[in-house]
Amino acid sequence: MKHEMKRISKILDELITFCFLHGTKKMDLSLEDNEDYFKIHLEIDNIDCNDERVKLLKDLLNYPRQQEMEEYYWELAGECDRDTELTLVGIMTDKAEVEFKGTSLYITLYRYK
Amino acid sequence: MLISKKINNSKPLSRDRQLQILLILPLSFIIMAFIFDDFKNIIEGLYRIIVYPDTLITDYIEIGSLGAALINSALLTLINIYIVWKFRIRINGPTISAIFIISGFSFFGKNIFNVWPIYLGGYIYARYQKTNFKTEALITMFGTALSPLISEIAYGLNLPLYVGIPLGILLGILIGFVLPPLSSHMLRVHDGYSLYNIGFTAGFLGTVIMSLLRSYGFAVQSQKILSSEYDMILKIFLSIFFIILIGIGYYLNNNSFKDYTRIFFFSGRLVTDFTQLCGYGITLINMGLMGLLGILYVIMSKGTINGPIIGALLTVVGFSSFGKHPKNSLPILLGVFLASATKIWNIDSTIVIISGLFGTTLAPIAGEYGILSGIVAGFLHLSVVMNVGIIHGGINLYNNGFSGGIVASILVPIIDAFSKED
Repeated sequence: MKHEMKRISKILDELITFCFLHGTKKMDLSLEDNEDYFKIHLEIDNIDCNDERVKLLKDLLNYPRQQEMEEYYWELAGECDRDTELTLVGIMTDKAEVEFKGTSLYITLYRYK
Repeated sequence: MLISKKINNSKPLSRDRQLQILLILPLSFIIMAFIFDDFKNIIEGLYRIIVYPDTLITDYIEIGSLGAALINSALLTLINIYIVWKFRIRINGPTISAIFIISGFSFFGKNIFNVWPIYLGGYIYARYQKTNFKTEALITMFGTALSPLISEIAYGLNLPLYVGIPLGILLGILIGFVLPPLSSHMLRVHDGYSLYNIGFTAGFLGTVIMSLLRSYGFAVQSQKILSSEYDMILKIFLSIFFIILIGIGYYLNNNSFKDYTRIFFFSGRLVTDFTQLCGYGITLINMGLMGLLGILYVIMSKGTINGPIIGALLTVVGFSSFGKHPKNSLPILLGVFLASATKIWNIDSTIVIISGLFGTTLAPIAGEYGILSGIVAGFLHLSVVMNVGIIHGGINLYNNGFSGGIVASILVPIIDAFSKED
Protein backbone atom coordinates (compact mmCIF):
# COMPACT_ATOMS: atom_id res chain seq x y z
CA MET A 1 0.00 0.00 0.00
CA LYS A 2 1.32 3.42 -0.92
CA HIS A 3 2.25 6.06 1.67
CA GLU A 4 2.24 3.43 4.44
CA MET A 5 4.36 5.44 6.89
CA LYS A 6 2.34 8.58 6.22
CA ARG A 7 -0.84 6.65 6.99
CA ILE A 8 0.63 5.49 10.31
CA SER A 9 1.57 9.05 11.23
CA LYS A 10 -1.95 10.21 10.31
CA ILE A 11 -3.38 7.63 12.74
CA LEU A 12 -1.05 8.91 15.47
CA ASP A 13 -1.90 12.51 14.63
CA GLU A 14 -5.62 11.80 15.04
CA LEU A 15 -5.19 9.98 18.35
CA ILE A 16 -2.86 12.60 19.82
CA THR A 17 -5.19 15.44 18.82
CA PHE A 18 -8.20 13.60 20.23
CA CYS A 19 -6.56 12.87 23.59
CA PHE A 20 -5.21 16.39 24.12
CA LEU A 21 -8.60 17.86 23.22
CA HIS A 22 -10.17 15.64 25.88
CA GLY A 23 -8.17 16.64 28.91
CA THR A 24 -4.93 14.66 28.57
CA LYS A 25 -1.84 16.21 30.14
CA LYS A 26 0.65 13.38 29.61
CA MET A 27 0.96 10.69 27.00
CA ASP A 28 3.47 7.89 26.37
CA LEU A 29 3.56 6.46 22.90
CA SER A 30 5.33 3.54 21.30
CA LEU A 31 5.30 2.37 17.71
CA GLU A 32 6.58 -1.00 16.46
CA ASP A 33 7.22 -1.83 12.82
CA ASN A 34 7.04 -5.63 12.91
CA GLU A 35 7.34 -8.02 9.98
CA ASP A 36 3.59 -8.52 9.51
CA TYR A 37 2.04 -5.62 11.36
CA PHE A 38 2.44 -2.22 12.95
CA LYS A 39 1.65 -1.96 16.64
CA ILE A 40 0.77 1.39 18.18
CA HIS A 41 0.53 1.65 21.96
CA LEU A 42 -0.54 4.74 23.88
CA GLU A 43 -0.74 5.33 27.63
CA ILE A 44 -2.76 8.40 28.39
CA ASP A 45 -3.30 10.16 31.72
CA ASN A 46 -6.21 12.31 32.83
CA ILE A 47 -8.66 11.74 30.00
CA ASP A 48 -12.18 13.16 30.42
CA CYS A 49 -14.15 9.94 30.86
CA ASN A 50 -17.49 11.80 30.97
CA ASP A 51 -17.18 13.02 27.39
CA GLU A 52 -19.55 11.18 25.04
CA ARG A 53 -16.89 10.59 22.40
CA VAL A 54 -14.48 9.20 24.98
CA LYS A 55 -17.23 6.80 26.10
CA LEU A 56 -17.62 5.71 22.46
CA LEU A 57 -13.89 5.33 21.92
CA LYS A 58 -13.89 1.53 22.07
CA ASP A 59 -16.74 1.19 19.58
CA LEU A 60 -15.29 3.76 17.19
CA LEU A 61 -11.80 2.24 17.17
CA ASN A 62 -13.18 -1.25 16.72
CA TYR A 63 -14.70 -0.47 13.33
CA PRO A 64 -13.93 -3.20 10.84
CA ARG A 65 -10.91 -2.51 8.60
CA GLN A 66 -12.19 -1.27 5.23
CA GLN A 67 -9.53 -0.77 2.61
CA GLU A 68 -11.90 0.72 0.04
CA MET A 69 -12.85 3.50 2.47
CA GLU A 70 -9.28 3.92 3.69
CA GLU A 71 -8.02 4.42 0.16
CA TYR A 72 -10.40 7.30 -0.40
CA TYR A 73 -10.51 9.02 2.99
CA TRP A 74 -7.17 8.36 4.78
CA GLU A 75 -5.81 11.84 4.09
CA LEU A 76 -8.55 13.32 6.31
CA ALA A 77 -7.19 11.67 9.46
CA GLY A 78 -5.58 14.16 11.84
CA GLU A 79 -6.59 17.16 9.72
CA CYS A 80 -9.18 18.76 11.99
CA ASP A 81 -9.07 19.77 15.66
CA ARG A 82 -12.79 20.53 16.04
CA ASP A 83 -14.14 17.14 15.09
CA THR A 84 -12.70 13.64 15.39
CA GLU A 85 -12.00 11.00 12.77
CA LEU A 86 -11.76 8.05 15.17
CA THR A 87 -14.02 6.11 12.81
CA LEU A 88 -11.33 6.55 10.20
CA VAL A 89 -8.69 5.24 12.62
CA GLY A 90 -10.94 2.19 13.10
CA ILE A 91 -11.25 1.76 9.34
CA MET A 92 -7.44 1.90 9.01
CA THR A 93 -6.63 -0.63 11.75
CA ASP A 94 -7.39 -4.34 12.15
CA LYS A 95 -7.65 -4.63 15.90
CA ALA A 96 -8.03 -2.24 18.83
CA GLU A 97 -7.62 -2.89 22.55
CA VAL A 98 -8.98 -0.12 24.76
CA GLU A 99 -8.77 -0.17 28.55
CA PHE A 100 -9.78 2.47 31.09
CA LYS A 101 -8.19 2.50 34.56
CA GLY A 102 -9.65 5.42 36.49
CA THR A 103 -8.78 8.47 34.41
CA SER A 104 -5.98 6.64 32.61
CA LEU A 105 -6.51 5.17 29.18
CA TYR A 106 -4.51 2.45 27.42
CA ILE A 107 -4.93 1.99 23.67
CA THR A 108 -3.22 -0.66 21.55
CA LEU A 109 -3.82 -0.73 17.81
CA TYR A 110 -2.71 -3.32 15.26
CA ARG A 111 -2.46 -2.67 11.54
CA TYR A 112 -1.55 -5.69 9.43
CA LYS A 113 0.59 -5.19 6.36
CA MET B 1 -27.02 15.53 23.78
CA LEU B 2 -26.60 12.14 25.40
CA ILE B 3 -26.20 9.08 23.28
CA SER B 4 -26.17 5.54 24.57
CA LYS B 5 -22.97 3.65 25.25
CA LYS B 6 -23.90 1.01 22.72
CA ILE B 7 -24.01 2.96 19.50
CA ASN B 8 -25.91 0.55 17.31
CA ASN B 9 -29.13 -1.01 18.66
CA SER B 10 -30.73 -2.04 15.33
CA LYS B 11 -31.65 -5.61 14.51
CA PRO B 12 -28.74 -7.30 12.72
CA LEU B 13 -29.15 -7.22 8.95
CA SER B 14 -27.56 -9.91 6.82
CA ARG B 15 -25.66 -8.97 3.66
CA ASP B 16 -28.37 -10.60 1.53
CA ARG B 17 -31.05 -8.46 3.20
CA GLN B 18 -28.91 -5.33 2.67
CA LEU B 19 -28.66 -6.17 -1.03
CA GLN B 20 -32.40 -6.82 -1.23
CA ILE B 21 -33.12 -3.37 0.20
CA LEU B 22 -30.86 -1.82 -2.45
CA LEU B 23 -32.72 -3.77 -5.13
CA ILE B 24 -36.13 -2.26 -4.28
CA LEU B 25 -35.56 0.95 -6.24
CA PRO B 26 -34.20 -0.45 -9.56
CA LEU B 27 -36.79 -3.26 -9.64
CA SER B 28 -39.63 -0.83 -9.05
CA PHE B 29 -38.18 1.39 -11.82
CA ILE B 30 -38.42 -1.57 -14.23
CA ILE B 31 -42.04 -2.27 -13.27
CA MET B 32 -42.95 1.40 -13.60
CA ALA B 33 -41.18 1.66 -16.99
CA PHE B 34 -43.31 -1.10 -18.48
CA ILE B 35 -46.49 0.38 -17.01
CA PHE B 36 -45.88 3.73 -18.74
CA ASP B 37 -44.07 2.62 -21.91
CA ASP B 38 -43.87 -0.29 -24.33
CA PHE B 39 -40.73 -2.27 -25.18
CA LYS B 40 -40.18 -0.68 -28.60
CA ASN B 41 -40.46 2.85 -27.24
CA ILE B 42 -38.04 2.04 -24.41
CA ILE B 43 -35.39 0.67 -26.81
CA GLU B 44 -35.73 3.67 -29.13
CA GLY B 45 -35.57 6.01 -26.13
CA LEU B 46 -32.44 4.28 -24.81
CA TYR B 47 -30.78 4.76 -28.22
CA ARG B 48 -31.59 8.48 -28.17
CA ILE B 49 -30.22 8.75 -24.61
CA ILE B 50 -26.95 7.10 -25.68
CA VAL B 51 -26.29 9.19 -28.79
CA TYR B 52 -27.35 12.56 -27.37
CA PRO B 53 -24.63 14.80 -25.85
CA ASP B 54 -25.16 14.84 -22.08
CA THR B 55 -23.76 18.13 -20.80
CA LEU B 56 -25.69 19.79 -17.97
CA ILE B 57 -28.70 19.81 -17.96
CA THR B 58 -30.03 17.01 -20.19
CA ASP B 59 -33.17 15.37 -18.83
CA TYR B 60 -33.34 11.79 -20.13
CA ILE B 61 -37.13 11.71 -19.61
CA GLU B 62 -37.38 14.42 -22.29
CA ILE B 63 -34.66 13.02 -24.61
CA GLY B 64 -35.70 9.34 -24.42
CA SER B 65 -38.98 8.77 -22.61
CA LEU B 66 -40.04 8.10 -19.03
CA GLY B 67 -39.72 4.34 -19.61
CA ALA B 68 -36.29 4.64 -21.23
CA ALA B 69 -34.97 6.88 -18.43
CA LEU B 70 -36.27 4.47 -15.79
CA ILE B 71 -34.71 1.46 -17.54
CA ASN B 72 -31.40 3.31 -18.01
CA SER B 73 -31.33 4.07 -14.28
CA ALA B 74 -32.42 0.54 -13.32
CA LEU B 75 -29.76 -1.11 -15.51
CA LEU B 76 -26.92 1.06 -14.21
CA THR B 77 -28.06 0.59 -10.61
CA LEU B 78 -28.37 -3.19 -10.99
CA ILE B 79 -24.90 -3.49 -12.56
CA ASN B 80 -23.39 -1.45 -9.73
CA ILE B 81 -25.17 -3.57 -7.13
CA TYR B 82 -23.68 -6.57 -8.92
CA ILE B 83 -20.20 -4.98 -8.62
CA VAL B 84 -20.83 -4.46 -4.89
CA TRP B 85 -21.90 -8.10 -4.55
CA LYS B 86 -19.12 -9.52 -6.74
CA PHE B 87 -16.26 -7.69 -5.02
CA ARG B 88 -17.82 -8.16 -1.58
CA ILE B 89 -17.78 -4.44 -0.93
CA ARG B 90 -19.22 -3.64 2.48
CA ILE B 91 -22.71 -2.13 2.23
CA ASN B 92 -22.30 0.94 4.39
CA GLY B 93 -22.97 4.68 4.12
CA PRO B 94 -20.55 5.42 1.26
CA THR B 95 -21.70 2.39 -0.76
CA ILE B 96 -25.40 3.27 -0.32
CA SER B 97 -24.60 6.87 -1.32
CA ALA B 98 -22.73 5.70 -4.42
CA ILE B 99 -25.60 3.43 -5.51
CA PHE B 100 -28.21 6.17 -5.01
CA ILE B 101 -26.13 8.82 -6.75
CA ILE B 102 -25.79 6.52 -9.77
CA SER B 103 -29.56 5.82 -9.75
CA GLY B 104 -30.26 9.54 -9.61
CA PHE B 105 -27.79 10.81 -12.18
CA SER B 106 -28.92 8.10 -14.61
CA PHE B 107 -31.86 10.44 -15.20
CA PHE B 108 -29.60 13.23 -16.49
CA GLY B 109 -26.11 12.47 -17.65
CA LYS B 110 -25.04 8.90 -16.89
CA ASN B 111 -26.08 6.21 -19.32
CA ILE B 112 -25.35 2.63 -20.25
CA PHE B 113 -22.71 3.79 -22.76
CA ASN B 114 -20.77 6.60 -21.16
CA VAL B 115 -19.86 5.34 -17.67
CA TRP B 116 -17.81 2.21 -18.48
CA PRO B 117 -14.55 3.83 -19.67
CA ILE B 118 -14.24 5.45 -16.21
CA TYR B 119 -14.67 2.03 -14.56
CA LEU B 120 -12.02 0.62 -16.90
CA GLY B 121 -9.68 3.46 -15.92
CA GLY B 122 -10.27 2.70 -12.22
CA TYR B 123 -9.60 -0.99 -12.87
CA ILE B 124 -6.35 -0.23 -14.72
CA TYR B 125 -5.29 2.08 -11.86
CA ALA B 126 -5.90 -0.74 -9.35
CA ARG B 127 -3.81 -3.12 -11.47
CA TYR B 128 -1.09 -0.49 -11.82
CA GLN B 129 -1.00 -0.07 -8.04
CA LYS B 130 -1.11 -3.90 -7.63
CA THR B 131 -4.27 -3.72 -5.51
CA ASN B 132 -7.70 -5.27 -5.86
CA PHE B 133 -10.28 -3.24 -7.84
CA LYS B 134 -12.41 -3.39 -4.67
CA THR B 135 -10.05 -0.80 -3.15
CA GLU B 136 -10.78 1.72 -5.91
CA ALA B 137 -14.39 0.70 -6.65
CA LEU B 138 -16.05 3.34 -4.48
CA ILE B 139 -14.10 6.23 -5.99
CA THR B 140 -14.80 4.89 -9.47
CA MET B 141 -18.53 4.59 -8.79
CA PHE B 142 -18.66 8.19 -7.59
CA GLY B 143 -16.24 9.18 -10.36
CA THR B 144 -18.72 8.76 -13.19
CA ALA B 145 -19.42 12.48 -12.66
CA LEU B 146 -17.43 13.21 -15.81
CA SER B 147 -19.18 10.70 -18.05
CA PRO B 148 -20.88 13.44 -20.16
CA LEU B 149 -17.42 14.29 -21.46
CA ILE B 150 -17.25 10.86 -23.10
CA SER B 151 -20.59 11.36 -24.88
CA GLU B 152 -19.68 14.92 -25.79
CA ILE B 153 -16.43 13.90 -27.47
CA ALA B 154 -18.02 10.86 -29.12
CA TYR B 155 -21.10 12.62 -30.49
CA GLY B 156 -21.02 16.34 -29.67
CA LEU B 157 -17.89 17.77 -31.30
CA ASN B 158 -18.79 16.91 -34.89
CA LEU B 159 -15.82 14.55 -35.13
CA PRO B 160 -16.18 11.48 -37.39
CA LEU B 161 -17.61 8.66 -35.22
CA TYR B 162 -14.53 6.46 -35.82
CA VAL B 163 -12.44 9.22 -34.23
CA GLY B 164 -14.92 10.59 -31.67
CA ILE B 165 -15.96 7.31 -30.04
CA PRO B 166 -12.42 5.91 -29.44
CA LEU B 167 -11.21 9.35 -28.33
CA GLY B 168 -14.09 9.70 -25.86
CA ILE B 169 -13.48 6.22 -24.48
CA LEU B 170 -9.74 6.88 -24.17
CA LEU B 171 -10.32 10.12 -22.28
CA GLY B 172 -12.83 8.34 -19.99
CA ILE B 173 -10.21 5.69 -19.17
CA LEU B 174 -7.70 8.43 -18.40
CA ILE B 175 -10.19 10.15 -16.07
CA GLY B 176 -10.89 6.88 -14.24
CA PHE B 177 -7.14 6.35 -13.88
CA VAL B 178 -6.32 9.74 -12.33
CA LEU B 179 -9.41 10.21 -10.15
CA PRO B 180 -8.43 7.96 -7.19
CA PRO B 181 -5.23 9.78 -6.17
CA LEU B 182 -6.70 13.16 -7.05
CA SER B 183 -9.95 12.78 -5.11
CA SER B 184 -8.20 11.57 -1.98
CA HIS B 185 -5.87 14.56 -2.07
CA MET B 186 -8.66 17.10 -2.67
CA LEU B 187 -10.36 16.14 0.60
CA ARG B 188 -7.78 18.15 2.48
CA VAL B 189 -8.79 21.37 0.72
CA HIS B 190 -12.22 21.44 2.40
CA ASP B 191 -11.38 19.14 5.34
CA GLY B 192 -14.40 16.93 4.70
CA TYR B 193 -16.95 19.77 5.06
CA SER B 194 -18.39 19.13 1.58
CA LEU B 195 -19.83 15.65 1.15
CA TYR B 196 -19.61 15.47 -2.67
CA ASN B 197 -15.83 15.46 -2.76
CA ILE B 198 -15.68 13.79 -6.17
CA GLY B 199 -17.74 16.67 -7.55
CA PHE B 200 -15.09 19.06 -6.27
CA THR B 201 -12.33 16.96 -7.80
CA ALA B 202 -14.19 16.43 -11.09
CA GLY B 203 -14.82 20.17 -11.28
CA PHE B 204 -11.10 20.92 -11.33
CA LEU B 205 -10.31 18.03 -13.64
CA GLY B 206 -13.16 19.02 -15.98
CA THR B 207 -11.90 22.61 -16.00
CA VAL B 208 -8.43 21.50 -17.12
CA ILE B 209 -9.82 19.17 -19.82
CA MET B 210 -12.26 21.80 -21.07
CA SER B 211 -9.50 24.42 -21.22
CA LEU B 212 -7.45 22.01 -23.35
CA LEU B 213 -10.38 21.36 -25.70
CA ARG B 214 -11.10 25.08 -26.03
CA SER B 215 -7.43 25.69 -26.80
CA TYR B 216 -7.88 23.55 -29.93
CA GLY B 217 -11.03 25.34 -31.01
CA PHE B 218 -13.58 22.83 -29.70
CA ALA B 219 -16.58 24.47 -28.05
CA VAL B 220 -18.76 22.58 -25.58
CA GLN B 221 -21.98 24.33 -24.70
CA SER B 222 -24.09 23.60 -21.66
CA GLN B 223 -27.81 23.17 -22.36
CA LYS B 224 -31.17 23.01 -20.60
CA ILE B 225 -33.53 20.25 -21.73
CA LEU B 226 -36.21 19.51 -19.13
CA SER B 227 -39.41 17.49 -18.94
CA SER B 228 -42.52 18.52 -17.03
CA GLU B 229 -45.28 16.05 -17.87
CA TYR B 230 -44.81 13.40 -15.15
CA ASP B 231 -44.72 15.64 -12.07
CA MET B 232 -47.57 14.12 -10.07
CA ILE B 233 -46.82 10.47 -10.94
CA LEU B 234 -43.19 10.91 -9.90
CA LYS B 235 -44.12 12.72 -6.69
CA ILE B 236 -46.42 9.85 -5.70
CA PHE B 237 -43.93 7.15 -6.72
CA LEU B 238 -41.01 8.72 -4.87
CA SER B 239 -43.11 9.49 -1.78
CA ILE B 240 -44.19 5.83 -1.61
CA PHE B 241 -40.58 4.69 -1.96
CA PHE B 242 -39.44 7.01 0.85
CA ILE B 243 -42.28 5.81 3.10
CA ILE B 244 -41.23 2.20 2.38
CA LEU B 245 -37.68 3.09 3.51
CA ILE B 246 -39.08 4.56 6.74
CA GLY B 247 -41.20 1.43 7.21
CA ILE B 248 -38.24 -0.94 6.82
CA GLY B 249 -36.18 1.27 9.12
CA TYR B 250 -38.98 1.30 11.69
CA TYR B 251 -39.09 -2.52 11.61
CA LEU B 252 -35.31 -2.88 11.89
CA ASN B 253 -35.26 -0.39 14.76
CA ASN B 254 -37.35 -2.82 16.82
CA ASN B 255 -40.69 -1.42 15.58
CA SER B 256 -40.00 2.06 16.88
CA PHE B 257 -38.50 5.45 16.11
CA LYS B 258 -36.66 5.24 19.43
CA ASP B 259 -33.27 6.95 19.51
CA TYR B 260 -33.73 8.46 16.03
CA THR B 261 -32.79 11.91 17.36
CA ARG B 262 -29.35 10.68 18.41
CA ILE B 263 -28.38 10.93 14.73
CA PHE B 264 -28.39 14.72 15.31
CA PHE B 265 -25.37 14.31 17.60
CA PHE B 266 -23.17 13.89 14.53
CA SER B 267 -22.04 16.90 12.50
CA GLY B 268 -22.03 14.86 9.31
CA ARG B 269 -18.49 15.80 8.39
CA LEU B 270 -16.69 13.15 6.33
CA VAL B 271 -16.42 10.32 7.46
CA THR B 272 -19.80 9.89 9.23
CA ASP B 273 -21.24 6.50 8.38
CA PHE B 274 -24.70 6.28 9.99
CA THR B 275 -25.04 2.55 9.20
CA GLN B 276 -22.16 1.91 11.60
CA LEU B 277 -22.82 4.70 14.09
CA CYS B 278 -26.59 4.31 14.47
CA GLY B 279 -27.50 1.04 12.74
CA TYR B 280 -29.43 0.28 9.56
CA GLY B 281 -32.83 0.92 11.16
CA ILE B 282 -32.20 4.54 12.10
CA THR B 283 -30.26 5.10 8.86
CA LEU B 284 -33.19 3.96 6.70
CA ILE B 285 -35.64 6.07 8.73
CA ASN B 286 -33.34 9.06 8.18
CA MET B 287 -33.07 8.34 4.44
CA GLY B 288 -36.86 8.15 4.05
CA LEU B 289 -37.46 11.30 6.12
CA MET B 290 -34.87 13.26 4.16
CA GLY B 291 -36.52 12.12 0.91
CA LEU B 292 -39.92 13.38 2.10
CA LEU B 293 -38.28 16.62 3.27
CA GLY B 294 -36.78 16.99 -0.22
CA ILE B 295 -40.18 16.53 -1.88
CA LEU B 296 -41.67 19.08 0.52
CA TYR B 297 -38.92 21.52 -0.50
CA VAL B 298 -39.77 20.98 -4.19
CA ILE B 299 -43.49 21.56 -3.48
CA MET B 300 -42.79 24.69 -1.40
CA SER B 301 -40.65 26.03 -4.25
CA LYS B 302 -43.52 25.28 -6.66
CA GLY B 303 -41.18 23.07 -8.70
CA THR B 304 -41.93 20.29 -11.15
CA ILE B 305 -40.36 16.88 -10.66
CA ASN B 306 -38.24 15.88 -13.66
CA GLY B 307 -35.01 13.95 -14.28
CA PRO B 308 -32.60 16.36 -12.57
CA ILE B 309 -34.86 16.76 -9.52
CA ILE B 310 -35.19 12.95 -9.20
CA GLY B 311 -31.37 12.88 -9.32
CA ALA B 312 -31.12 15.51 -6.59
CA LEU B 313 -33.69 13.76 -4.38
CA LEU B 314 -32.04 10.35 -4.69
CA THR B 315 -28.62 11.88 -3.99
CA VAL B 316 -29.96 13.51 -0.83
CA VAL B 317 -31.51 10.20 0.23
CA GLY B 318 -28.28 8.28 -0.45
CA PHE B 319 -26.12 10.71 1.48
CA SER B 320 -28.58 10.54 4.39
CA SER B 321 -26.78 7.31 5.21
CA PHE B 322 -23.48 9.19 5.16
CA GLY B 323 -23.70 12.56 6.87
CA LYS B 324 -27.00 14.31 6.13
CA HIS B 325 -29.88 14.59 8.56
CA PRO B 326 -32.66 17.18 8.97
CA LYS B 327 -30.80 19.16 11.64
CA ASN B 328 -27.73 19.85 9.49
CA SER B 329 -29.53 20.02 6.11
CA LEU B 330 -32.44 22.36 6.89
CA PRO B 331 -30.20 25.43 7.46
CA ILE B 332 -28.62 24.88 4.03
CA LEU B 333 -32.03 24.53 2.35
CA LEU B 334 -33.18 27.68 4.15
CA GLY B 335 -30.04 29.54 3.01
CA VAL B 336 -30.58 28.59 -0.64
CA PHE B 337 -34.32 29.38 -0.37
CA LEU B 338 -33.61 32.84 1.05
CA ALA B 339 -30.96 33.40 -1.60
CA SER B 340 -33.30 32.43 -4.42
CA ALA B 341 -35.97 34.79 -3.08
CA THR B 342 -33.59 37.75 -3.13
CA LYS B 343 -31.36 37.04 -6.14
CA ILE B 344 -31.99 37.24 -9.87
CA TRP B 345 -33.07 33.63 -10.45
CA ASN B 346 -36.60 32.20 -10.38
CA ILE B 347 -37.34 30.35 -7.16
CA ASP B 348 -39.37 27.67 -9.00
CA SER B 349 -36.82 26.89 -11.73
CA THR B 350 -35.33 23.40 -11.77
CA ILE B 351 -31.76 24.68 -11.56
CA VAL B 352 -32.49 26.70 -8.39
CA ILE B 353 -34.37 23.81 -6.76
CA ILE B 354 -31.61 21.30 -7.45
CA SER B 355 -29.10 23.82 -6.13
CA GLY B 356 -30.98 23.72 -2.83
CA LEU B 357 -31.23 19.93 -2.70
CA PHE B 358 -27.65 19.30 -3.85
CA GLY B 359 -26.51 22.24 -1.71
CA THR B 360 -26.93 19.97 1.31
CA THR B 361 -23.43 18.76 0.40
CA LEU B 362 -22.55 21.58 2.85
CA ALA B 363 -24.62 20.08 5.69
CA PRO B 364 -21.50 19.36 7.81
CA ILE B 365 -20.90 23.13 8.11
CA ALA B 366 -24.30 23.56 9.77
CA GLY B 367 -23.69 20.41 11.82
CA GLU B 368 -20.36 21.64 13.13
CA TYR B 369 -20.70 25.43 13.31
CA GLY B 370 -24.45 25.91 13.80
CA ILE B 371 -27.59 27.06 12.02
CA LEU B 372 -26.41 30.55 11.05
CA SER B 373 -23.24 29.24 9.42
CA GLY B 374 -25.37 26.72 7.52
CA ILE B 375 -27.70 29.46 6.24
CA VAL B 376 -24.71 31.56 5.11
CA ALA B 377 -23.20 28.51 3.37
CA GLY B 378 -26.47 27.84 1.51
CA PHE B 379 -26.83 31.52 0.61
CA LEU B 380 -23.32 31.62 -0.90
CA HIS B 381 -23.71 28.24 -2.58
CA LEU B 382 -26.50 29.38 -4.89
CA SER B 383 -24.43 32.23 -6.34
CA VAL B 384 -21.32 30.09 -6.76
CA VAL B 385 -23.08 27.11 -8.33
CA MET B 386 -24.82 29.36 -10.87
CA ASN B 387 -21.45 30.64 -12.05
CA VAL B 388 -18.97 27.76 -11.95
CA GLY B 389 -20.71 25.59 -14.55
CA ILE B 390 -19.39 27.76 -17.37
CA ILE B 391 -15.78 26.94 -16.42
CA HIS B 392 -16.13 23.22 -17.16
CA GLY B 393 -18.82 23.69 -19.82
CA GLY B 394 -21.31 21.46 -17.97
CA ILE B 395 -19.28 18.26 -18.36
CA ASN B 396 -19.08 17.77 -14.57
CA LEU B 397 -22.44 16.39 -13.49
CA TYR B 398 -21.67 17.13 -9.84
CA ASN B 399 -21.51 20.87 -10.43
CA ASN B 400 -22.97 21.44 -6.97
CA GLY B 401 -20.15 19.34 -5.50
CA PHE B 402 -17.66 21.61 -7.26
CA SER B 403 -19.40 24.68 -5.88
CA GLY B 404 -19.86 23.12 -2.43
CA GLY B 405 -16.14 22.35 -2.23
CA ILE B 406 -15.27 25.93 -3.14
CA VAL B 407 -17.72 27.39 -0.60
CA ALA B 408 -16.51 25.06 2.17
CA SER B 409 -12.83 25.80 1.39
CA ILE B 410 -13.47 29.54 1.66
CA LEU B 411 -15.99 29.56 4.49
CA VAL B 412 -14.67 27.03 7.00
CA PRO B 413 -11.31 28.73 7.71
CA ILE B 414 -13.11 32.08 8.10
CA ILE B 415 -15.75 30.70 10.49
CA ASP B 416 -13.00 28.85 12.33
CA ALA B 417 -10.92 32.01 12.73
CA PHE B 418 -13.82 33.81 14.40
CA SER B 419 -15.10 30.93 16.52
CA LYS B 420 -14.25 30.66 20.23
CA GLU B 421 -11.26 28.70 21.52
CA ASP B 422 -12.00 25.20 22.91
